[in-house]
Amino acid sequence: MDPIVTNLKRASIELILLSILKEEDMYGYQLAGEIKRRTNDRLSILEGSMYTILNRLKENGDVSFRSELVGKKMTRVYYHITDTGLKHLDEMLITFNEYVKIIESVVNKE
Amino acid sequence: MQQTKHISRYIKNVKKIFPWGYPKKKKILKELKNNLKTFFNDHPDISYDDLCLHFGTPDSYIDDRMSLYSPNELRRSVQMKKRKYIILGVIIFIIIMAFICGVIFIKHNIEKHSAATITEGFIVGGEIITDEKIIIHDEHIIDDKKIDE
Repeated sequence: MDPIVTNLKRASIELILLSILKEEDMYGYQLAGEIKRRTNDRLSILEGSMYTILNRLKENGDVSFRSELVGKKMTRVYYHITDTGLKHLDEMLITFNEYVKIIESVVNKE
Repeated sequence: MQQTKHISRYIKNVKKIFPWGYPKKKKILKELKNNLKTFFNDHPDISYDDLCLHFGTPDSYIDDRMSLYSPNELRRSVQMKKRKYIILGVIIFIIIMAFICGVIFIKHNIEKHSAATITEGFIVGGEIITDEKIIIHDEHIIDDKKIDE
């Protein structure tokens, strides 16, 4: 993968995850599938990376999780965005949009 | 159980490539184990190769995990680890030197208190009589012989 895309992905993954969780609680595999679906397979995130980010979001208080029993033995972990996470998401969106404008002003200079 | 086997294998491979000096190794490995268990909840019968394909290889996992640290954090962590090893090295050196000095000191003292022959001579009835006392360790007389000359 292009290093630029890799770096951009790393920088925006929290924004992507919180944006999706804002709509509904999801479990890990579901989140990974949702990202692929919304981006038409143009963006995919390895679940290992995703869990790492989700753990960090949990430590920051942006996300909480609950375990649900599925079937007889299997448990599933559902992630939920907290009020802190919603506030953080709004701030990130503002920063992100501003940054995109800054880059565009340089790259699309006329 | 296959799941436990795959998790153990994955963690073992991550441990092999874990960079020296990086912070919170135990915490990261514990977190990884929990993440793998969560992953297996959604993919119960997955093979190890498919695990690496969907979860990420041990290399990519470490790369992503390490990218969460700022360069400052990494630098501080490596510096602290270096300092700890230097201090440990100095302590070990001091202990070894103390041991060597102790051995030399004890050996020197043993030689000092080793057999010292004291010859006393006196004249009895015109004859010179010498008395040799062999003394070892704080003047215990172990051999006392009279020599007539």
